[in-house]
Order: sequence, then C-alpha cells, then structure tokens
Amino acid sequence: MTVSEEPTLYDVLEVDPESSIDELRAAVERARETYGPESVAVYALVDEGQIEELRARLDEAEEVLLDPVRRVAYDRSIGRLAPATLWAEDDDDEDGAPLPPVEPGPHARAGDLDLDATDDDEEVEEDEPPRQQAFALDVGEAPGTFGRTADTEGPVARTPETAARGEALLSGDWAAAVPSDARPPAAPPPSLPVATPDPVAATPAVEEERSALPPSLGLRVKPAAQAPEEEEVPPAAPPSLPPAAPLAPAPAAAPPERPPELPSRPRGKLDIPSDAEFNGELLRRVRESYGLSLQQVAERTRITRIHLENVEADRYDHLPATVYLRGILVNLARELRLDPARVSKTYLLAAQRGHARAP
Amino acid sequence: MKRYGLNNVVELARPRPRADELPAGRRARRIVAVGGGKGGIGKSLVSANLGIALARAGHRVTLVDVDLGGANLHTCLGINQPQGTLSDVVTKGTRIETLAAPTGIENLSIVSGAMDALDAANPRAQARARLVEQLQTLDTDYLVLDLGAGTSLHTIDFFLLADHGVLVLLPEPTSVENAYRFLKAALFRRLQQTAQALGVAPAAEAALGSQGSAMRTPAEVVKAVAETNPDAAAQLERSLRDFRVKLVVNQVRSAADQNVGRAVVAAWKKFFGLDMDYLGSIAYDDSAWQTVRKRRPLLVDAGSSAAASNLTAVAEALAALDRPRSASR
Repeated sequence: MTVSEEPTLYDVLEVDPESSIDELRAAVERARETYGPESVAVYALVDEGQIEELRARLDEAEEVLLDPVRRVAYDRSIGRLAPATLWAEDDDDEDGAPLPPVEPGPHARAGDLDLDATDDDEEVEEDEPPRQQAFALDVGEAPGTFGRTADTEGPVARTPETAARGEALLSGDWAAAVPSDARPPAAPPPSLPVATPDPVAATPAVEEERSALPPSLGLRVKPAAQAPEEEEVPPAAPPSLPPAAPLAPAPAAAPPERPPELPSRPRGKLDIPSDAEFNGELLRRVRESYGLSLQQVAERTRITRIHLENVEADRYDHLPATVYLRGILVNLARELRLDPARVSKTYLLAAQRGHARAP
Repeated sequence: MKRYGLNNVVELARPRPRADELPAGRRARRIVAVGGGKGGIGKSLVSANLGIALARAGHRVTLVDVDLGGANLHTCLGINQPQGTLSDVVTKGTRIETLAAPTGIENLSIVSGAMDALDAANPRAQARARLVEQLQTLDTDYLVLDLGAGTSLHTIDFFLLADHGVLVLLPEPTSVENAYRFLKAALFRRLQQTAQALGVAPAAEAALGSQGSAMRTPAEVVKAVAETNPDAAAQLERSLRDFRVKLVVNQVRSAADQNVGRAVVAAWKKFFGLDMDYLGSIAYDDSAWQTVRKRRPLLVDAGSSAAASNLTAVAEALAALDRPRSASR
C-alpha cells in the first residue's frame, strides 16, 4: 500500500498506535483541551479552517479509535493489521453470532469492481446498490482492492473524508454481521437507500420497508453472502428489492437510530431532471430546498463545513484531490437524497474542466 | 504576509559553535533574546530577573536593552539610565563593552538601549550590522537582550540572532495573538534569510507565495525547494529545525492557565512542525508589580515570592540547555 503523508488518526492524537484504550481516551481529552474552541493556545495561530479541519479529525479519531470494532477496521485500512488477524479477532468477539460467510478473498471483490467499471451507461439510476457496495469496497477492503484502486487514483482512505467514510461503510458491514443489540452505539447511522430519481419508484410502502431493514443489509451485503446465482443479477435488479431481503429475518430488530427524517417528498419542490449536471449552485439549491443549513449538513455528514462551502461555490482549487472529493460528493449526495453516482460524476467532470481552464 | 527585504541580513544566519565545541575550560557564551510581540507582558521583568538568576548561578551576564525606542530595563533593576547608551555605538562609534554599567549585583552589568535622538531608534542597516557584530563578540557568558514590542525588522533580527529566543506570553488571547504573529514573522524571516544564503530564494519565495495568503508550513517550503535542490533543502530544513523557541508563560493565575504553555508547544508543533522548549510559567503575583513600582528587582526584593522562585526555575531550565550532556556540573 502506498504510504501517504496524510497523518493517521493516531498522529492526530499524538499517540502511539499501540496505545491502550485508556491512553487513547486520555489523549482525546488532552487534544480537546489543546485544540478546542476554549483553548487560547490556538487563538490566531492558523486559519480558522485549519483548526476546524483538525477538530473534525479529532471527532473522527474519538469515534473510530475508541470503538474497538471500528479501531480494528481502521488499523487494517492503514495497513497495520493483516486481514487474517481481523477476521480471527472478529470470530472471537462475536461469540457465535452467525457471521455471514464473508470471504475477504479477492474474487468477490474483483467481480464487484468489474461491475462498477462497466456501468458507465447512462441509465445507471437503477443500480445504485451495487455501486455503493463497490465504493465501500474501494475504500476499505482487502489489499488487492487497494492495489486496484491505487492504480487509477492513488492512495485511498487516508483523508479525513474518505477515511471517515471508509470506516463508516466498513462498520456498516460490521454492524450487519452483529446482532443489533450488540452493535456499537457509536457507529454512525448507515445510509439508507438513496431515493431514485423516478418519483413513482419510491412509494411510501417501499420507503417504509426499506427503513425497517437494517440499512446496511439493504445496501451493502457482502457479495459472498448472496446466493451464487445472484452474482450476475445486480445491474438488472429492481431497485425496490433490496438484494439482502432473503437474508433478513433481521427486520424484527429495531434499526439503529438515524438522524431526523428529511421531508419525505423533497423532489416536489425542486424538479431535477435525471440527466442534470450537478454543480455547486445546484447542490446548494437542493440543500436549501430541504431547509438545511451548511452547518447542519456538515454535522450530519461529518464533512467539514469549509469543504461544503467550497463545493457549493465551485472553488475547485480549494477542494481536495479527486479521490477524496468523490467521497465528499457521494456523502453529500446521499444526505440530499440525490443519486451519488450522478452527482459525483457530473461534478467531478465540471471540476476537471474548471481545472483545465485555470492557468 | 508582510514582506521583509533580504539585504544585509545574511550574516545573521551564521551558525554559532555549540556548547560542546568550545575549548575546554571556557564556558559557552550564549545570546538570549527575550521577546513576545506584545507590550506589557513582562519581557523586561523576565529579562532582568533571568539575568539576576544567571548571575547568581555564577555566570557573567550582560543585559542589553534593545528596546531602542522604549528602553527601561534599567528601571526594572532600580538604577538610573547609564550615561552611555547603544545610540553612542551608532552615532559615535563607541565600543559596546565600554558602555556596560554595573548593576549592584555581582556578575551582572547592563547596557542601556535608549536612543532618544530622532530616528536613532530605527538605525540603518549599516549601523545595525555594527551593533550586531559587537554584540556577538562581547566578552561575557550570557548576553541577555530585552527586545521591544512589535514585529519590527530589528526586533525580529535580534531575536534570530540569539541562541535562545525566549518567547514570553500571557495566557490571554491578545498576548497569544501577538506572540504568534511575532513567531511567524521571525520564522519566515529565518526562512527567507537561509534561502537567500543558499541561493534558493526564488524557489522558497514561490512556495511561500503560491497560495495567496494561506500560511505555508516550513515543511511545504522545504519540499518545494527539494524539487530543484535537495542539498539546499536539507540545509534549509536544518536551519528551520534550529528555530527552537523557548517559551515562558507569565502571569499564570489558574489551573487552566498552567496548561497554556504545554498547549502552545503542542499546537506550534502540530501546525508548524517545529519543536518548542517550555521553560516554565510564572505565577501571577502581587509582589511582581509591587517590586516594579518600587523599582526593585523581584529576585532581590521579594526573593521568596512564588514568582521569584518560578523565575529562578526558568533560568535553571535555560542554563540546563547549554550544559554539555556529558559534563553537567
């Protein structure tokens, strides 16, 4: 794996990666004192944006490293743990909980990625679940996947945004494997299926059924957990049928808490054609149509507010590298119930053109 | 960011011998500069009492008031302004050592910096260079420079000239803000000086200015220089690593104040990637301002006060930095 200069969450806390949970907790406390809004020591030291960035990373460090399950996943994502270790530990931890027959080997992944690679066609709206799955795998999975991603896009999962997302997605997968009452409460609410642009498809009944499912089952089932014959299906699968449905006796379990519901019919106010080209202006309008402030979106998505502002203002020069920007866009789109693939694709294209124009 | 000219400053970046490189039997001669950007934060108080503590520990100490426009270090020591001042060096060519006046404290002398002649408080580059040259060759163990407030060019250069740049700050936003402004100005002047001396000024300047007003970290500049000149980048990095400020937090009142020093060290490292040595804090102490009003040095007049013992500890921490590791006394 490419070693990135991006500091790890351990660097952010200024601790050794071997630190015990108590040491980590103390480090979080210390960092909050040093870099928090009350601390005079950071007054006028650097731009407010830099401080905010750091505080967002501290939030992330606290959420991820103080949660033993997420910490293991994170350690693996920064190359500190071999996958084998991870899975072994997992078996111990879950004391007999029926794990999905997850196979971290490269085969299933490769299939997913191929799937991802071939879905360039325009009527992509329907295959959102597989896409997201591929994204999840891109960010935090086995070394083979890393290698593949790095070929085209450089190191992944080391910025605040993608790391956070990678962790979130990973932990979503983890959550799916654990009985819901054993789930770490700190795990962020995994995203729900994204509303399809076709208003008819999202009937209230379907919405209802979806939210009753543990979200990660709805979206990010491990490919190996599916019946083999389903492997070819995903692109054609009707979007209202979560691929995991057959697996799920789980709907009985209460879904994890999620942020307050968005208005159920957001699209009523804002008519977005399915071939819309998303730019900052359009994203801002969508956000405002929900009556959400930048701050609210920042809190819900854990994307730094500065990034959100820059996205909405199309300040391409101030945005992070493409691989990270994509993570931001996908998450933002999810929050706004837009098609993440469409949003990231069109926005990144515009950003590229914007860069090309710049001297 | 404020830009400074690059003329006449390269000589300041000359490396000084380390303590353990000096001939045996000869104590390291060290220049200590006490600054902090803001006025009224106790720079003169720290300078004077640091000088006294070092002198009491057996070092020969010369205090020099280089707050050229507002010299009052002599007042902190309870003596009248000496007859000759630094302005004589500039205007009459007097040697500094002839200006050193006794303070009544063994091993401690003082050179006043008062420059009352119009415009003399802002000496020209040539006069400044002469001052610097004489200061560097003065025969004493510790030369303690009491800097003025602000981030004027000569203040910054005196700070950079020192082996130990001591930054005084109070645990309050106004002081911290000015202290950081002062530090950043000094750091970037050091960077520019060194880059100039290494012949990589254009690359460094480009790196500094390439993103508008955004502050670039030293590491970013070093990296940019390394693209064209790895050797120079390595030297530049060494020079920047030597920019190792010594921190003193004055007027500490609460437990939270106690933590400010450590937090400043951590934040400076976090955002600028550079180490800072924390020498200690000085308690807010009524006896401090009382002794100032009496025009008596704190260590002499209220030697058993909390502030006095803090100042002694700060002096010890500073002196400890100069002791060769193998031969500590």
